Amino acid sequence: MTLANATEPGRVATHVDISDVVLRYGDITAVDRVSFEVRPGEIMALVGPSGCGKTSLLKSIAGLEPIDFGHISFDGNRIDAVAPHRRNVGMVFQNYALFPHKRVRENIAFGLRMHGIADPGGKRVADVLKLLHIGHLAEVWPDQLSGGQQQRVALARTLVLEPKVLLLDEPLSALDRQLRDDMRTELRMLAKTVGITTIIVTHDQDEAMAMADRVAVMRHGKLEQIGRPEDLYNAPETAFVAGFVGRINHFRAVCAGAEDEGVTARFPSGAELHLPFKGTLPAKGAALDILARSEAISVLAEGKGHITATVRDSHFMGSFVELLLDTEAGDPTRIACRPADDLPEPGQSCQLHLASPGVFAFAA
Amino acid sequence: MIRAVSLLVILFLAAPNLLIIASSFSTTSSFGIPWDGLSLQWYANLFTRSTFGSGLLLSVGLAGLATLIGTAIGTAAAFAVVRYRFPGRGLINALVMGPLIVPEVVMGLSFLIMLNAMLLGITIVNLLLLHLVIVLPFVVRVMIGNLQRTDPDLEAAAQLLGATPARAVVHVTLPIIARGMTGAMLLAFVMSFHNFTATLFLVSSEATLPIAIYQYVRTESDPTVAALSSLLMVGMLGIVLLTSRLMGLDKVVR
Ligand SMILES: Nc1ncnc2c1ncn2[C@@H]1O[C@H](COP(=O)(O)OP(=O)(O)O)[C@@H](O)[C@H]1O
Ligand SMILES: [Mg+2]
Repeated sequence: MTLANATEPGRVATHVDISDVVLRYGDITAVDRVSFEVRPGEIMALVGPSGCGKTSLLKSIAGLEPIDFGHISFDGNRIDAVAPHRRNVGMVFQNYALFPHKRVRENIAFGLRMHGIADPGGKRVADVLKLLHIGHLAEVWPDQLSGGQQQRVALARTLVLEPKVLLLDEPLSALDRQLRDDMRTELRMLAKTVGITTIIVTHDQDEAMAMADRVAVMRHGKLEQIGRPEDLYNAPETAFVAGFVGRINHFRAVCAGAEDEGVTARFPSGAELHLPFKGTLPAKGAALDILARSEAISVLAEGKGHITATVRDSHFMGSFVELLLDTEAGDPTRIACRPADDLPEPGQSCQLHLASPGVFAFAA
Repeated sequence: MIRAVSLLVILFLAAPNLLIIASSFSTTSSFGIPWDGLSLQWYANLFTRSTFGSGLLLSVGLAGLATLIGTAIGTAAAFAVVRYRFPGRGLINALVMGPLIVPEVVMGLSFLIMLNAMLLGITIVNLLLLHLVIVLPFVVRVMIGNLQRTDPDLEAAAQLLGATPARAVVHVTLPIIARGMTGAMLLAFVMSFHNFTATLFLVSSEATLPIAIYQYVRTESDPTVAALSSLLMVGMLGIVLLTSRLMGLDKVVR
């Protein structure tokens, strides 16, 4: 493959297989038996709160941290014992790690030099400069570049070697907000144009959903759930995933009955709701966490709902109205409603009616 | 106001040196400002004393070797302390920093006792060992500071771009810490070149320059040493200026 004809057929992207990987720093288990696959040309996002082991997992794929257990394969060949300089993995570091004593062109040519790859006329460097729209920056020093430009140089420096896998660690976190939204789209387009198997680390679920084909949610070093953004959003397997992927509202209830893959939740108002339930069914009377997407909640000024609430505040946001509610059955709740004349005013009480999809029950 | 004060401070700091330079041109054999004319006789007298010449040679050779070897060992030690967690890491730190705390008189004396016990009779080797111990804390301190400011991801990035660990150090880390190393070498050279107290315990027939000067003023009291000191000042100034010209002194010190 060359970058110039990246989209032409014949380019074969790499299949990445991560199996039972454990990575420890002394007593800390940063990555705890994580397994997943990334298909050729797929963009996978690794998301999770800070310190959950995302960077550590990237470093073990790159070979920068030796793994303690499990294996990592590219196209079926184990690479976990291969030294980083032989793995042909491209990584863009969180702070870009450009060589401060080399100009942009020299930064990009560095990998070719280390591999002893001749670049007659500087064509490969020129191609990748063009791909990333930074031709005019070739002779500039890294400390004269903006954050966005540094990121492009870091990408160019990696892509010029046509690596098997592209690893991006929090690629947008150092950019300002406006640029971040533009770069999301551009990064995704770039990875798809080059056709490279890509793993993006982020702690921002919006970013993950916008850029990735599939998302893997990590917590405390373990993989919580993996799937397409819509799968995680519509069918979270744990309360953590429900709360991490997309916004969620939190209510308390007790189990009034459990039968074939479902529970009946009873709210403080006495109202009941039957919901599907994954895993071991809870006993009658056990506490339940009920998580509901904003769009699964209807606000009724009167009549019968599941939860009684009081409007604390309401904000007109253009396409929707945001209601801030105090409820008897949960934390303060923020709900987006379609603007309508009969929405309750601050100080008034109302009823919340929950309806699947978008309502999930978990053992508390 | 602040300008005036800082000018005064600089004058106050420079005054003894200026006085020495003035004395070196004296026509009489006493120190002081030569109101009644200038002469170069004390500079000429310098060259009749062979101890100064051999002392200078010994001091430059000693400082040069201590600087080269000390910077190599010190940089490697700093590297180990900054980049790796290993048992005994604290010990290296303590060992290298120890000489900063021990008074020089004690250090010179203990070296004398230790080297006598080891029957190492070669003065230059003994002196070199002592001066290594003297310069190492400074080199290690400066280099630890430098390496801590160098992003470890740079080396990782170089490796992922195909550089072996050794080439990553050579092509990325070393060029980045070169300035700091120059600063460390300058410091080491000066520390070694100037050292008097601890060195005094180990010299026998061959004296380093500071000790040769000391031996001279014990018996003579003419401005020959003023002439020598003036030359040394010019030499040191030259080295510092050259370094700062090559590297940018602000960056060496930073
Ligand atoms: N070099 C290291 N030495 C010791 N502990 C580390 C090291 N790097 C990371 N950790 C720890 O491992 C855990 C995971 O860190 P990391 O992979 O950086 O998380 P994330 O990238 O998701 O924020 C954290 O508890 C962190 O403190
Ligand atoms: Mg991280």
